[in-house]
Amino acid sequence: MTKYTMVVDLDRCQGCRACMEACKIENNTTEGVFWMYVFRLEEGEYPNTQQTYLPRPCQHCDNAPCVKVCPVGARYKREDGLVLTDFDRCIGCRYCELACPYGVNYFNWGKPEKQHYGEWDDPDLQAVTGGANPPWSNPDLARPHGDEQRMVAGGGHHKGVMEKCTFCVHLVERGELPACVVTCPVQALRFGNTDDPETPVSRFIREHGHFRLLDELGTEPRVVYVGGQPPSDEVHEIELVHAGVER
Amino acid sequence: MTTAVTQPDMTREEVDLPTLPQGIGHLTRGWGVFVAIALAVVGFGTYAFMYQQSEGEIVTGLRNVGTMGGAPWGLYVAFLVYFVGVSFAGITIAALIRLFNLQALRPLARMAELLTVVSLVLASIAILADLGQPLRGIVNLFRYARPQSPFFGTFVLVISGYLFASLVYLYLGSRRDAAIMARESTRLQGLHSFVAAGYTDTPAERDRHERATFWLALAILPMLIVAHSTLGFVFGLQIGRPGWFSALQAPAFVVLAGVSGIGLLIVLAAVVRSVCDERDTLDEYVFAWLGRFLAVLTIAYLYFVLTELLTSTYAAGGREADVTDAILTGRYAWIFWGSTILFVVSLAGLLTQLLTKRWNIGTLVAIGIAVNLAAIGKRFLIVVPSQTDGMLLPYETGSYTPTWVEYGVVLGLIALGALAIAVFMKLIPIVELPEEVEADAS
Amino acid sequence: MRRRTLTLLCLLTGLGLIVVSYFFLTAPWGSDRVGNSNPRLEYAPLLTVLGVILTFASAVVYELLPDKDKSGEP
Repeated sequence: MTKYTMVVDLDRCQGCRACMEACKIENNTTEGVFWMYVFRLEEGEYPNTQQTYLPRPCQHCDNAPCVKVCPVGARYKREDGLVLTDFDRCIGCRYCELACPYGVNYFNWGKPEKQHYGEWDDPDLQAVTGGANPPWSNPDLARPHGDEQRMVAGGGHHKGVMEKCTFCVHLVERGELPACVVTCPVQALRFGNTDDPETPVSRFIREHGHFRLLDELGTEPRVVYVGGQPPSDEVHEIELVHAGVER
Repeated sequence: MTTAVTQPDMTREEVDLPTLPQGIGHLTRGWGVFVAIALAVVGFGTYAFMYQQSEGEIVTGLRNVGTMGGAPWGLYVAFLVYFVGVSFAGITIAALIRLFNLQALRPLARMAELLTVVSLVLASIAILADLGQPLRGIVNLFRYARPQSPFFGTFVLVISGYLFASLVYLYLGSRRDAAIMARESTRLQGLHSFVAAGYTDTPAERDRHERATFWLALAILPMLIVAHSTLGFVFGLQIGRPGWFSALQAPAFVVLAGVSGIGLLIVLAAVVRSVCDERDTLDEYVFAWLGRFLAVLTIAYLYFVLTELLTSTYAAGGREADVTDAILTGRYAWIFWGSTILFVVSLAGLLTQLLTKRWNIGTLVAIGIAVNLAAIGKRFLIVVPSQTDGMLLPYETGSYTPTWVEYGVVLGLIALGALAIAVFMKLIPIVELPEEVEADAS
Repeated sequence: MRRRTLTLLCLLTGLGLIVVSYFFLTAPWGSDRVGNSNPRLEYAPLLTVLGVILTFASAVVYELLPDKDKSGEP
């Protein structure tokens, strides 16, 4: 039985946010949507400040509150540990977003063609791109995945449905690694099967002190943090992040 | 009641108009103006909703929590909870009248049931307005709904069960009066006969009616508790939302529902009393009883507010404290203190009338409106601050301001409710016709 | 007699539908497998709702059904 876990090495993370970019490119997310997000945190008063970085993908919890509350079963947990969203079944009630303590859910408020970066119907841009597939739509991802054959990968970011980090299910099913893991320049992210105690990821977790975010809530996240501390009450983001969207 | 004799040179209108009680079938200018305004507001609300459907909910002030610094649940959900809360009044009054044989309150029964039915319909529409995919939502809820989700209870028990049961109760209770109306050959005779469905006011039939409605009231009462509690559970079971995760949510929902429902019922009763000239049936006794009931519920609710306040200011740390601060002294303070003052002043007004045993209907109407405004404020406070100020990871504090689309849809819903009640009042007597009138259709 | 029988039938069918569909046909409780996200029978929630409606419709049946033994009534 395969059960995937992601390990984040906070000693290595330098806050470059290349993983955020990679996730965006791989999954074609629209403006202000960060399936992978990296907190840039600071604590203390200048000159005695300390900066830390905290990557926050979806935690793919074993006891996921979002799965429990989904009224139609669009958000579900797979036996391999992934928590996915069937965007064909989702009715857009946003209950999963309210239930999640980590804030990893993104609802598509507007139409993808209006919520994407750049003016896609600009004639200069059209001349350069030559009628290529628009950036929010990725036909490679718009197929059913898994034994259950449901529409869960990046897809078209349709108006009125939820989405979040999928651990790049479309790559993982091919035996590849998620985009963020592959892209990280300092290998701060690891991903693998922890059901087998002898895989590199399992051994890495065993050999290092580790914690999980908001462990006390009982969500049993499948993302393990190594080499750092859970964020304290005193930390705050270095710069204001209100990645909002307009119509 | 005798049937008017038609003279050859009299038009049907001149014969029809005076014979039906409570202004049924008789459209006054005042009524016409009211309906026209209501229709206009409903039209605007529909336009706002269609605009939202075409562009997406981006036209609202709702946004994602966390990195987007917004609130995904706002005015629509606050009003959905408010409307379900208002529906409390109908069945409570009906059940109390039936189960405890409070005959003096019978004049309230039908309008209370109507208030329940109308507010539950408004709640259903509010849910649809909030969904990202409303049409898909209707199909998929019937197809896939999971009992483990608190929404299942809201959907099945509240919208389907509670609404249908109240409709049945309203219908069965209206048959007798419809039969009485149907005796007159008016334009509405067809409708009245249809609603009456062969009702004959024989002792056997009356007996059956009493029995059926007794058991119906008895069955609806537990559903009332479950319905409002389920709505409370939607919020109260979420570990990830400081300010929501609390055992108090469910009971507090029920009590605030009572406050807003009885308050609105007072307003409706006062309107009916003057518009339909029912000063004898909707007399001081009825309003005094409502006032006393409202006083008890308001005291109970303020007790809940106090308990939650003490608990959150005494012991809570971290994000719980942030949410409490935002509500008590921060951005939402004006809503909290405004609502609390409205409750306290209303309670003072009620207690004064209670102790002096002099009830003033105008004051009661003002109190009814005040507690409803306060209830809307409290519903908003239940929904929003835990999203903007209650993030457990170190995101920045969020904010939420509704847009004209949300105000439009909500006002349109309220106007729709008012419209439905106004139309009903012209078709079926809103105050039960007195016992002495025989409805024998022989 | 006919009225009472039909009312009871309506009521019990409704309650039966609710119990059977809620406990055996809708999605099972649990949040760790794909199976928990699908109902055991599609449209089972519709059956639950119909059950609730039938349960309360029994009151209408009870009141509206004409008395078989009343003379002159259909």
